[in-house]
Amino acid sequence: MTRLNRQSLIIGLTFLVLAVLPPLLSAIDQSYYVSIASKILIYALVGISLDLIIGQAGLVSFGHAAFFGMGGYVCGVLSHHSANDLLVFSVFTGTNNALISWPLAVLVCMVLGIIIGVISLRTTGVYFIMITLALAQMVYFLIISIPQYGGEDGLSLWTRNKLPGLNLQDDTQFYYICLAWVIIYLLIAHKLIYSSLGLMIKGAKLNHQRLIALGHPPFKAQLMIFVLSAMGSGLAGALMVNLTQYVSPDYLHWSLSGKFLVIVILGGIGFLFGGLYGALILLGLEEILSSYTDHWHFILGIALVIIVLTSKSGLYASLVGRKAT
Amino acid sequence: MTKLLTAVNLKKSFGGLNAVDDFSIELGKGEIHALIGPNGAGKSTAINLLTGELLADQGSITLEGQDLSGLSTWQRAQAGLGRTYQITSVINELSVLENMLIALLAQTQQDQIGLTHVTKITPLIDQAKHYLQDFDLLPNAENLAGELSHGEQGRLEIAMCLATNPKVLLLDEPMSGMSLIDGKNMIALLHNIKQSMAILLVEHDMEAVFQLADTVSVMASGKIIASDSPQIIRKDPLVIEAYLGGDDASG
Repeated sequence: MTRLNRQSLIIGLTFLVLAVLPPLLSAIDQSYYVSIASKILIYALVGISLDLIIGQAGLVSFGHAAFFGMGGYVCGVLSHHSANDLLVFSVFTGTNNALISWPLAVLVCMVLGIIIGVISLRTTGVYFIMITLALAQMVYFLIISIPQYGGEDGLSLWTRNKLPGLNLQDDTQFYYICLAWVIIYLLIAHKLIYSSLGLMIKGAKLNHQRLIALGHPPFKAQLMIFVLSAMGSGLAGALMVNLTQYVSPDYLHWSLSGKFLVIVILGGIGFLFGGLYGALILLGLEEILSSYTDHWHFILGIALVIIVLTSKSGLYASLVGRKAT
Repeated sequence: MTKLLTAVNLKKSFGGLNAVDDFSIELGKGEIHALIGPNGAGKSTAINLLTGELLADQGSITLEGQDLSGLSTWQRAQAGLGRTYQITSVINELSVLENMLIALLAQTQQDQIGLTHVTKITPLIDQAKHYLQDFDLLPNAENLAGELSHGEQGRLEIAMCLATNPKVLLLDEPMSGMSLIDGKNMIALLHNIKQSMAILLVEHDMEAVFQLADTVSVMASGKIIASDSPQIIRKDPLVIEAYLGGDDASG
């Protein structure tokens, strides 16, 4: 079988399974797992968006929790104001409408992405890692210093957002919303990667000096992909807060940024689908191991080391038989 | 001859070492100016000062009257400075065609950068293939640049530079490590392109230098010790002592 066929087969099978998962789970009376599957899809969305900046641009962001958490907080705060009839900044009323909350969450993350991107894209390598980490931690400390929004305790939501015509409170419907976003984001990312813009970004990753000598500093293109990445993670945060009906400063914490990196590395750097498989393996292992023992972190650590050592380009790469470029 | 690039009194020292000292050079359109000298004479450092990859401690660089001194490397490239590297610098992990596309998109076709699938921008692809045809690389278009022979990589690098329409081309040992045939092809190639630009050629291959150069400057210990036509440089006793060595000079 050729490599391309194998890849199409695996992608096709993956989406087939994802599409029929909720009825399948309800048939075997395990509907509880639908919300866990939603969580995996949400982390997959972050993994895919983070891989844009790591895999395509070659820049390791250690601060993507800032976007994830910020997206979550926008939804949480709007919902909080709506439930308690308070004005945001004494001007706007809150809202529980997903058609307002979600785009707003993405928009705020776009602005945050531009701010963090403009500053951190002046650096590369280890410095880029450190500066994204530092800026993300600033966002974390900023948010927990607002007692109105729960400080270190976070905010609970009364209900998930409302989407006309759908009932997001229903786990199955919510799952399909998450799946739809993952597919939409994959399509956008795919378009970007194979565009002329994507080619310039790839060129800058592989030979920065050559691009500069050709008179083309990659800053603008890198900023675009960074902001798109931030928006994806912000959307994932908004979905996460809806899933758990809770927004916590943990969503902004650097350790979560680390977890996102683990997802990308496990799945395979430079493969869009890597994020999906990385989320599946990490969250799946967490779920399975933690049901057996309290010391699951230890076993998870060993499992991760084994996976990384045996499949160097990541799980997805091993599945489709490709190496990252 | 119109002067394109003028550098005056460039100086660069690393610690106590004067890598380049009092370096002045004028490059005219249609002219190949060869820069020769023993290893460590400061030739590559001089190129890096011109492109801005190293910042000169003092001195000025102007391109057609425009002061380049305060500009960064990419700004100088946009102003019209193209360069190749001593260790050929193409994007090994991408195909030859993709390398060419990037070079075109970098400056002359910047408005084509967007979200359109890159293989669907037909005029761009055609133009890239046209360049590859000219440089005899079209059969390798789909191969990775890293898989090309040394000579082919050198041609690709020059093709990429030319795609940015440079006014001045700075070539750092384009013939080094090339086979005899590749070297001959490179000489023919440089001869063909020199009409429309100024070329600074750093090269150890004396046969190539004396075939191609209109002017030869000789560097030793960071300084230009002689600068003249090839015929005169060949016979300059100072040059022979510093670099050429008695017998090689006549060869």
